Amino acid sequence: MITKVRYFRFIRGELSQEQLANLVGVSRQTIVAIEKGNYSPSVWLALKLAKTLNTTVEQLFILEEDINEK
Amino acid sequence: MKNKKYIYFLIVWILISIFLSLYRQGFILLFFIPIFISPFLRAKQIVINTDERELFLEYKSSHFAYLSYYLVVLMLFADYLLIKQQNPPVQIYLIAIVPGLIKWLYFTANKINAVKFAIILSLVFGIFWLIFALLSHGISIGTVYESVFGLSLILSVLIGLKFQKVGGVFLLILSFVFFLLLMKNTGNRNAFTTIIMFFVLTMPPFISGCLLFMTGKNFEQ
Repeated sequence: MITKVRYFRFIRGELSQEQLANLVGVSRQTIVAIEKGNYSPSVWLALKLAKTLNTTVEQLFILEEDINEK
Repeated sequence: MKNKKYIYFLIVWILISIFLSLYRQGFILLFFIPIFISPFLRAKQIVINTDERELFLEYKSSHFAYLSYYLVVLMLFADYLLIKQQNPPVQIYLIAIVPGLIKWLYFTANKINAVKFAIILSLVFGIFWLIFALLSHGISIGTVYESVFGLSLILSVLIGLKFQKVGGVFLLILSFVFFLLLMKNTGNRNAFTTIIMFFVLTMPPFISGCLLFMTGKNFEQ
């Protein structure tokens, strides 16, 4: 799975990892792990991230097989 | 209590436990208390800083702790059977069997219906102990004494039906009390009788208690 959290973080006013973590209610390390692809968030957290970053879950997290199909 | 305060509390607790243990060996038991308090705090969401990834890491670390625990048990068995060339004491059999059984039962029961499983298990054993007491002593004062086992199990289950977590805690306390009574009155019973007694007396409330407590509301985030 490819994550675009970092990209959307910068589009949305260059939010820091700490700020995003506070907005969604998790630790900064969790955001780091998600951005690095070391941790797949739950549906709840994915939805919360998408809402905070003004995007959709599908745009925020992309399956590798979907990229290959394109 | 937030995470940082909780960690400071733990450090102070451990230091006090070390000093008291140096003074008297029995105080070693103090070390075990945080192990049981932590899940309670988390279940009540008093420690609120734990997010889903941290929770996941905690479960993962518990799993590694479980595996290393079995490594130690294996070494103990090897020590008794290969080096000392004698049968291990009953306690080692218990610590080898119980965690594995709990893990398997928890997994299986959750696939079916954890709460139903827990309630049926304790009810069956509660009724079994009531009948056992009645058949052993007839209508006498001995029946009243022995009925306490069965009645307390049934009562805890009834509480668990209304307040799942509270019922779970009662069952866990009961299993601990039963265990102490069993170990105190081991006498000259042979090891395997003690193990069987353990499984019919201490295990049912322990398993039911764990299931009721763990699946009770507000445990999950």
